[in-house]
Amino acid sequence: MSGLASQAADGSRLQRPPYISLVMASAVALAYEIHLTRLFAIIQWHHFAYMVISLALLGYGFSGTVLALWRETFIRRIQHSYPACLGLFALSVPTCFLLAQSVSLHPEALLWRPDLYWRLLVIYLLLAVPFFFVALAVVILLTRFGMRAGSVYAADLVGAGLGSILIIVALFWFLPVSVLWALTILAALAALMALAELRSTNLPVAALAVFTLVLPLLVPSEHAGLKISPFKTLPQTMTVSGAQLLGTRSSPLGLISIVGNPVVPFRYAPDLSLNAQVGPPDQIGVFIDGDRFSPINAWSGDPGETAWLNASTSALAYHLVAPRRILISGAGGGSEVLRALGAFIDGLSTPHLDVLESNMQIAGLVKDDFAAFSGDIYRRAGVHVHHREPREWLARNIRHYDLITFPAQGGPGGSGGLSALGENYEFTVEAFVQYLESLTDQGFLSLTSWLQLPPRDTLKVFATAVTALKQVGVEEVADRLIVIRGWQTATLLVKGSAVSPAEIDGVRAFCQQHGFDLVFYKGMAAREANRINRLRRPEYHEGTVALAGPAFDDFIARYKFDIAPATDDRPYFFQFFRWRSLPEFLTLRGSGGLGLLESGFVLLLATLVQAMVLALLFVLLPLIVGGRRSKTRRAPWRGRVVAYFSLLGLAFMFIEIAFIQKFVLFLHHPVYSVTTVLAGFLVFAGAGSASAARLNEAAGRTALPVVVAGIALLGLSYLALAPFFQAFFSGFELPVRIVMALCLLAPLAFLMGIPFPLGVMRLAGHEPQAVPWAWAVNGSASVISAVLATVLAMHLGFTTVVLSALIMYVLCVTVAPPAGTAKREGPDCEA
Amino acid sequence: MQRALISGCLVWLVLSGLLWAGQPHSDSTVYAQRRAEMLATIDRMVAQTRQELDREHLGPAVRNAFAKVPRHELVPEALRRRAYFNEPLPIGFGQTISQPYIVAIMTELLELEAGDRVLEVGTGSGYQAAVLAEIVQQVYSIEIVPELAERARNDLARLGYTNIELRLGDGYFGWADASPFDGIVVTAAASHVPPPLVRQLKPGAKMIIPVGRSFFVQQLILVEKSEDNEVSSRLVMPVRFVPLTGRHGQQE
Repeated sequence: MSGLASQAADGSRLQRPPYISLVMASAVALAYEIHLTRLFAIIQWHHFAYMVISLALLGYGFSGTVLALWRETFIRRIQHSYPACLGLFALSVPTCFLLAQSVSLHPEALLWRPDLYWRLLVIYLLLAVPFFFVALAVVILLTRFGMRAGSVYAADLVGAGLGSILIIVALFWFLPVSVLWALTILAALAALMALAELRSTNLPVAALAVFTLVLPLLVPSEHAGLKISPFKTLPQTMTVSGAQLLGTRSSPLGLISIVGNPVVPFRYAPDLSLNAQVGPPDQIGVFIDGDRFSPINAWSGDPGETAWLNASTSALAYHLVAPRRILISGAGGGSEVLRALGAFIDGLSTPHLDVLESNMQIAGLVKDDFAAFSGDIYRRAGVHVHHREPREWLARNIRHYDLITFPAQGGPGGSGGLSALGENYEFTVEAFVQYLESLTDQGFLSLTSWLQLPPRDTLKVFATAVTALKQVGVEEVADRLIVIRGWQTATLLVKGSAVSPAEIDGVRAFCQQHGFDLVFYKGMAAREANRINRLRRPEYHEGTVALAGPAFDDFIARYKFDIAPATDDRPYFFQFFRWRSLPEFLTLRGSGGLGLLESGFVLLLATLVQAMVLALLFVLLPLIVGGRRSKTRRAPWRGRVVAYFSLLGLAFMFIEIAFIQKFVLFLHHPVYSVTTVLAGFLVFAGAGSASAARLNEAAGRTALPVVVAGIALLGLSYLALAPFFQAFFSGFELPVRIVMALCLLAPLAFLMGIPFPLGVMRLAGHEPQAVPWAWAVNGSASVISAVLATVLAMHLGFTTVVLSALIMYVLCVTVAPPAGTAKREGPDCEA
Repeated sequence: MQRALISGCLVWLVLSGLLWAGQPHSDSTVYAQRRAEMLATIDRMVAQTRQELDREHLGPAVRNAFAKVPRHELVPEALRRRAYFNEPLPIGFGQTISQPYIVAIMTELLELEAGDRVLEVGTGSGYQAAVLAEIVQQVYSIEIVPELAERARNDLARLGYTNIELRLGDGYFGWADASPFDGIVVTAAASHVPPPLVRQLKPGAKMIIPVGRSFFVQQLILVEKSEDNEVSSRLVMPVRFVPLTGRHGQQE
């Protein structure tokens, strides 16, 4: 007892929060969170990563619940509890991930094997453990130093901001597994720092931290690596005789694995005609995150070796026009570049090729590592490789092209499902307008998509092209469009002017030669469709004819999948899910019909429902248990705490998620957007949070309304001015755009950092026992918010998400905990 | 009393022995019953998808093959109790065995006859090869993963299939020595239809290729070579799904 008494005394003597360890731990926690999405995208699929990590973050909310229940125990022993939490956090960072990845689970199997759900639950629980411990450490400090909530929260946010930068830089230099161990070491150092800062001599915690420091040396190598799902392409490829891993490259854009096989070569030619007499040459396989595949083709420079590339639907444009200036987007291993070079190699002059590949490591493989193998295609005369996204490139370079090409997205069977959650600004109406404006009069925009039954990708691309043509003022849109299809792909051509009869004859001849089907050109007779690669009904022809005519809106409204064109405000091209089709999918559950289900969106909804149920449990648990312990079951502050801190959690994340998604367009790549927006938001919100105490003292009751008015004003201004910023700054270099983005974010983020600590300080003054519970409410709401923001953005667009957030901020003012004379911080606020 | 106890024990031992001796028979009866149930499910689904498949029901040869092939002997031990559920199963090495209904319609769509010779690219568990072997004269099967090839070879030999020739290798070039074929099944992932396989198809014969993700076959590609060597294809959706409603759909 005397020991406890002295610990209590020690805890109460603390005057200064342990800022350094807090910043370190928060940095590792956020870096770990981002890194987990990478790790799970590699070992599983990114949509599954999104679900498990969203749920794991509920560990944050649960920490508040635990502290609300056992507050005195943790606070009185803060010198032990805080470092112990960080020590356990450090230990759980690698161990929980390694254990979670060893749980065998294929996400799709869950759709018909409900008995496997317990494995999913184990993964959730394991991944939640590190977040629980680190959040418990933060909320212990927030509760103990209630009146300094502003500075504690600021340290947490600034640390997290630094973590978001740290992880992106680390992923450029180290392999994902090494990064995991580096984060483990940093977390262990944070635990040791916590002991030092609190002058604690807790030997078990010190031993735990030291053990974690040397853990990378102790874990056997067979358990320390990534276990990629055997259902991904890379592991399957490696089971084939002769497969050799030639190398790996790491970056935040993905883990690249390079595979060769001299015994059974790769032969990737997805849209090759059934009439083709020769297949592709030897290839080196390039896999991104163990799945997405792009081949590097062997080429000696002989144009005859490229003939196989002409027997594809995507080669149609080369048969109609002799393009001199070509823009190739998403070049990957260079098949499209090879096709262009093959078409001109025996000509009198070389074409000008602008080749866009945003992943410079992939371009580097073709350019350097496998230059001799690939015929040095990326260094040939006229070939210019740029590490840019197409919209960024076109905004910076006012040029006109005879051909702009895009490869098929996703894999055979279509692109939906797995990609549904990812925003894509290359396939929006605004993007298509930009492409059309960059075409010469005789030029073609060529887009290839995978065939699906019922049709999805191809009809959505077609609908997007129709809308874009209307927007640029074309009256007879059907004049400009051609669609053909093979047995596995369809290619859409959009011309800069009306398609001529001679070109239509050329399309017919091309289809005849290679066994492809005509799908659409203006005035095409129905009998010409669906003759060689037959469907039960000519669905592609019927769909395109309807979309090119006055039935456009009606057809889209009636279709069972969402094929409405994506826009910059709702940039989810690969989201095809429609609520009204769900009952039909479910009735097909037992007959393999779930393959039709756009599983990405369904997993998102499943995540939302699970998060809401668990969050409700976490929020209610302290009330139920606490209610039994005390007789203040109906304390009046409870309603306000729930309303205020859940609205704040929802609103903050709504704006953060919306900005991350929106800034992809501004910064042209999700990696830059996530890093800039996260770091910017967290650091500037941290600065705002640090100033909350002074603001509270200076402005008192009016502080919150003033801050919220500022947030609303700035939020509305961004919505109004975003297109202007986008247009104006698109042409600048990336560093300039990042600085501009940070300047734009700074004032809003600064203000958004204030309401949370303001609320905590008010609570600490009146109801200190409610602080951990407020943290639980806020943490749970934040997790729900991140998922809900994506759902809303998919259905209603980003503008709605931001407006909803602003309304929630305004509502916060009405339900805020009352301002008043707060008690000073110290043991007295622990009562 | 003592005698009664001893008699009781003896009766119990004899009955247990009889039950134990009867176990294999009982097992095979149970599995036969499950096969019959599986076949009934397949029949029902074929009836539901008759428009998509362009036929009313499975032919007798295919039905007979499904009633005979012991699927439980060709799936991993741990999944035996699910062998006759109408669902895909993992068989190791990242490979799956399709749901029985898909195997049935793939076989049916080839329209095989008793004297035919069939090529299978991607042996996997050996189940599809066994089904084909019940229908045709000779099956040639190629598997690229050594462990799968070895396992299937042993399993099929144990089950007494003598008309299946299995080899380890690259299926891209088909089996030129044994060509031309009356039917080809390509169950291995292929980005395109290998030109050598098209050449090894007899005039009038068909090749079937499933397309989809690991566990879901989203569509079947039926490649047909006409008597005058013209190649065409048919895309078959193996699910009854009404894609459109209202006046554009021309359905419902």
